[in-house]
Amino acid sequence: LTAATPDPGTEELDAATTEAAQKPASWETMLCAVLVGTLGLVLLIGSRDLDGGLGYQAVGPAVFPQLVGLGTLTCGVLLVIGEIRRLLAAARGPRSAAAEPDGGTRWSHVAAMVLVLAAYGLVLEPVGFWQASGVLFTVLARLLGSRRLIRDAVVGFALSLTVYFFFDRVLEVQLPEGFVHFAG
Amino acid sequence: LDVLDHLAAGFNAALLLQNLALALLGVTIGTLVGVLPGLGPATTLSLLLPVTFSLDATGALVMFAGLYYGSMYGGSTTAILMNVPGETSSIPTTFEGYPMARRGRGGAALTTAAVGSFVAGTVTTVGITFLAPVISDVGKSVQPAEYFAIIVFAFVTVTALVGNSVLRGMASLFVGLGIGVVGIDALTGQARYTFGIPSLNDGIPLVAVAVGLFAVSEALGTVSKRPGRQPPRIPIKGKVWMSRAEWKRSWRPWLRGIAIGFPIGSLPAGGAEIPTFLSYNIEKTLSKRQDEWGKGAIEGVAGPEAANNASSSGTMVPLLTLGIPTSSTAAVMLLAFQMYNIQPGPLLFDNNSGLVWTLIASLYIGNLMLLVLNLPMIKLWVKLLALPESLLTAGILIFATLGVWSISRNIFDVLLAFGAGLVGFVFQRSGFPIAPIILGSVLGPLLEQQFRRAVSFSSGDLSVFVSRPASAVILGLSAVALFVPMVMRMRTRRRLAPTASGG
Repeated sequence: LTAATPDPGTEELDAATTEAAQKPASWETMLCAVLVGTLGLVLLIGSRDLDGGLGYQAVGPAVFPQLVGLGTLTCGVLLVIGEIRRLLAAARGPRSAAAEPDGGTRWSHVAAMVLVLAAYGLVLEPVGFWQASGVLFTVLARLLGSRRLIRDAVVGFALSLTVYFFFDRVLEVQLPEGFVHFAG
Repeated sequence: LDVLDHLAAGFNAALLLQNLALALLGVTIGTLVGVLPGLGPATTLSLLLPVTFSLDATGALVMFAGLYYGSMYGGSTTAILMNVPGETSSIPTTFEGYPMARRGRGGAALTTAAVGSFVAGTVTTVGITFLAPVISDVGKSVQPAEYFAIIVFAFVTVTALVGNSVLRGMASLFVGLGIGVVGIDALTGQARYTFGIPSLNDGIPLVAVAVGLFAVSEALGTVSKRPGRQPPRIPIKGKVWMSRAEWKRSWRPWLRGIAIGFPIGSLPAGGAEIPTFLSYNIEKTLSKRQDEWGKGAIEGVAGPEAANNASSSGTMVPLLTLGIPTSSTAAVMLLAFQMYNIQPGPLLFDNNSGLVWTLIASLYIGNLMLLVLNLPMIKLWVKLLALPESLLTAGILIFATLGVWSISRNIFDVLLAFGAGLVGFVFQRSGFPIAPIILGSVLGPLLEQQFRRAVSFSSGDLSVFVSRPASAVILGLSAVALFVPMVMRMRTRRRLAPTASGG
């Protein structure tokens, strides 16, 4: 197989997307495809409420969103069709190894991080920036594989307090103060 | 000469002690953050937007110039020492840079990258100095139909030239354009797709989207993998300098890299990463020591690094003169301008002359500072590579939050950034490129504005885009740029298909 020694120049440039584009159909790609299509629909349906208002306009505020919506929907539909075709091909062809080469994606960890971030965003204002960020840092470090709780907490709160004082007091970017008030 | 007067005035402003300090700070922080594995210039810049936010516009842009160069150099460092490119255009650097580091010539690789980037940056900035005012003048006479066509061309090239799936690229682009239409319509004052949320009246906050797509999605990518597979870092042995022979082998690749990088980078078209790959291939073809390639040929670091710097500095030309960013990094730069209500474009050199020339002068200064400061301190920067990934990622998320919050002081934006991160994470895994989303959302409003103006001028006749010769030619080129790679890829795939199923 002489093709096994690719020219690193152009091949690598494409590698990132090639790999995904040639993978067997996955629920993830299908999800993306459906999301794209839905966005197109939302753009198209929402544009019906837009009118030009008073006065003559060659192009009203609805035209461009409609064009974008149409394009988005077309991309979404083509992607969904492509994924369905790939699903059918996979069902007909020999079963490819289901296991991912990288040992699998830890979806539970992804979900946990999303939940932690959402909670952090919601408590940021009432609790305060450095307080919430210190806790966030400690929790995330553990989620990311660190097993040194005390060190992580010390680093986390030291970092958050430093950032808080530098940005809130020196640069005067107002950060949520929360329930502990520092003088100054 | 008019240009030199302006430049002198720019240097006068940039050399103020305060601005010098900001440039220094920018270069240092940029390197510091850029050297962290996985953080490319676009991510670094979007994370560091808030640091500049409390400054005046000139100070902020001076610092941004420093951040820009610093983060680019930081990215080369991880490419050479860890085999981790910060962005697509740094990939060629890993081909020879990492083997060099393993042979104990990491210091020389970092030096040829730094000096090459400096030479490229300086030559390119001279190019910007003389080219930008000319293009800016040309830009003033560009009519809406042609402007529309140029933006379409930029979009198509960004989408079609990189990556293997044109459809995925187009989908990303349209998602970006969709993000861009949200908010109050500038011409009629009508709210579009705001769903009654007041935060959306000014449009979807793009800084939040950028931080989410670049930084938060990176963090989700890290947590999704099993830990303990951090690529090993090769320590720098011996002196950080090049031997006489290495100098001799470096200077020609630098110059060739610049010759390839600057023209391609300064076109209002995507593909700023192509020159680095081109430069790598050219150096490999020209080399008399074919046996060294893949084992650490210094030309393979010198050429692509110079090309990379020349090309990314070149993107300043379409950014400043036409307001068209052609890379994610340039798009984040445009967001920085917009934070200060400065609109890059043909009028920038008239309306904000002082600011632009200070920025251009800062490019010279930031470049020099980077060379003088970073080379001696490289061993210190490299220590940062030893930080545990868990702490790094946790820290990045705090900075991401800080950045988004400090621009709007609105928790909606913070949550939006997290959401964009999740979407970006899933999209990237499925092979959707991120750059078209950002470019589409940043440039979409300009595209629509030119579209509507062009059609107004023609009294509603949509054929204006193809009946005007210049616009027709540019749109024709866009079609070629879109379909030729598509057809070529289909043919390659067909040719490779039997091997793929056989293996």
